[in-house]
Amino acid sequence: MPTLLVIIVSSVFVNNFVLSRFLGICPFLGVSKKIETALGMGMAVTFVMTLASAFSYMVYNWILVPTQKEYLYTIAFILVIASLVQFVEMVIQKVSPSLYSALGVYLPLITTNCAVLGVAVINMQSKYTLLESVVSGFSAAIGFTMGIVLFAGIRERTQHNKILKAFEGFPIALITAGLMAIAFLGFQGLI
Amino acid sequence: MQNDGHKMSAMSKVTGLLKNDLVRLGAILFLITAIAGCCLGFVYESTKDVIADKKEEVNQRAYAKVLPDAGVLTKLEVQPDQKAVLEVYRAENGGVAMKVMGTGYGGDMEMAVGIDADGNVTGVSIISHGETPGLGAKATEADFIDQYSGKNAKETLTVVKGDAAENEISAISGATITSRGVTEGVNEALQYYTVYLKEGN
Amino acid sequence: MSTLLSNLKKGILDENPTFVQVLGMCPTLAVTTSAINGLGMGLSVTAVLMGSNLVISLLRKVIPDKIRIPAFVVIIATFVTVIDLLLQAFFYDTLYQSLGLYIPLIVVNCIILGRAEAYASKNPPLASVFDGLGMGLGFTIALTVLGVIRELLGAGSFFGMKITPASFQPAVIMIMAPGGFLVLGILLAIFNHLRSRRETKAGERAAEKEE
Repeated sequence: MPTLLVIIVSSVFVNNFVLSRFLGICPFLGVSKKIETALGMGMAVTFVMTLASAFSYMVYNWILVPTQKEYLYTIAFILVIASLVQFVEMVIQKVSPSLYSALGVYLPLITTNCAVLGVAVINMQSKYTLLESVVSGFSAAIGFTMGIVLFAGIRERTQHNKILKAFEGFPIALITAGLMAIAFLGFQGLI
Repeated sequence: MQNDGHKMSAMSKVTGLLKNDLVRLGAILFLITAIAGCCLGFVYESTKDVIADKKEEVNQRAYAKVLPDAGVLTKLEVQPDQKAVLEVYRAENGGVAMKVMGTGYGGDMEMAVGIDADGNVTGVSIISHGETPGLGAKATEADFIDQYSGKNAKETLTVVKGDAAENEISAISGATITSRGVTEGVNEALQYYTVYLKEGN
Repeated sequence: MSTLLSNLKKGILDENPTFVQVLGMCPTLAVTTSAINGLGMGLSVTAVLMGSNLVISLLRKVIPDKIRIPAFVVIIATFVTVIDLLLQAFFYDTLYQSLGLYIPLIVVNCIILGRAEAYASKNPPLASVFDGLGMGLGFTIALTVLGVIRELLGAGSFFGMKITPASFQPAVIMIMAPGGFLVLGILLAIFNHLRSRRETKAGERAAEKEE
């Protein structure tokens, strides 16, 4: 399955969602002060992105394409994602309260995480099959998780360092992310 | 980001209360979506032709550029199971113009490839791409794209860094993936030409 | 009238969505590889913001509180699709292609949902439109500035025109992903610095008056 392998390597490393495509920057900067919360966010995003890839594929190819309403894809995808998030939240709450207490707070934030809508649109534009879409969604989410956890690790270690006052908060976080992005450029030769 | 807390409480409120008058709220939301859908349908219908014309115009301009003095172009059926070859035209002077697809750094790229009656590439022009301006987008500039002119359909082109020999294309520095994507598209066109379009076939 | 003007100023300066609120980072970083892209994205977002703020403000008493978030999202998505179609129809070979993926993603730009929730759902239509206009312009200015800087450093041009001498070797990294983070980080630091200096100066002046 060479295509699947290419999709995985490309979305985890080469076209890493946060560090190369700039998708999901809000949670990347917002929920990355601690490794623990970053990991929680990453898991919640992985869950939703994988499901969203599958459902948006079905909605697009089984409903919108046959009825020639492709131009409604933006509305359709965002509704799929919003209801999915709601649904996942209710299910987890009932089935596994412990998982809910771990992921619960991150779920509502995911509706406005552009990585989720982004992967749905990328899958559509790349004309992936159902399996390829799911793999692409899952590996992009793994890439996101890896990025945010690494980033949180660096932030945890550097938060007490003395820096210029003007750089405190977002500026230093952005510059850290920039340096990480340079490191990720090194993966470009992989595919 | 400062709205997040706000949103969160709003969202959980939605979950909690939805069960009570699910039907009524569902109906209102459905109504809003339906009205939105109708408005969009209207906008779509009124822009549909403009968009199609615009795309066709962009395509035709590209064909005219890659295959000069072609005269009238006649559209040919594309063989089934061709993923990369999108459109094929036969020109009055025996040449062909094709629209093919390659994968760049920013997703699919579409390009027009012109081949004359002797199987030589007359030109390549990028129709659409999502490459980074100043980097991959340099693929649209003459320095890069003119390298393809004169190559023969019998050859398979490869991308190299630095100076290019025969059958080679020198990559744009910092944009190897883009360069490879364009070359991949051109190779598809050359192969399709050799298999299906060559005079005498 | 004064509310309208102060709404404009609020969006452009005091509560600038990019430099002060640090919202909508994805398009801010992703499309600012050139000045024209930044400007195009900024204006598209402004159009969506004005439209969605207007409709949401008009419907603020009709939409039940419990389903307002999904309702807002549908309204925003509608405007985004309209902009998408219009860009295709009139800017197909230029802006539409370079903004690509990031046009549908305007839907999840936190600025738009944020303004709907914080302003348009509580205020009359005209004021909401101006709020949208102000925020949109603030966003546009930020994106254009970022685009100009990155394009100048990374490609040596200004709105597509080559302006640097041939001896200038552009730092390509600036238009690649890391450059986005670095330039925005430094701009934010400068903005922070200027703001804190203004505040100290204002404080000093107040102290002088007391004497």
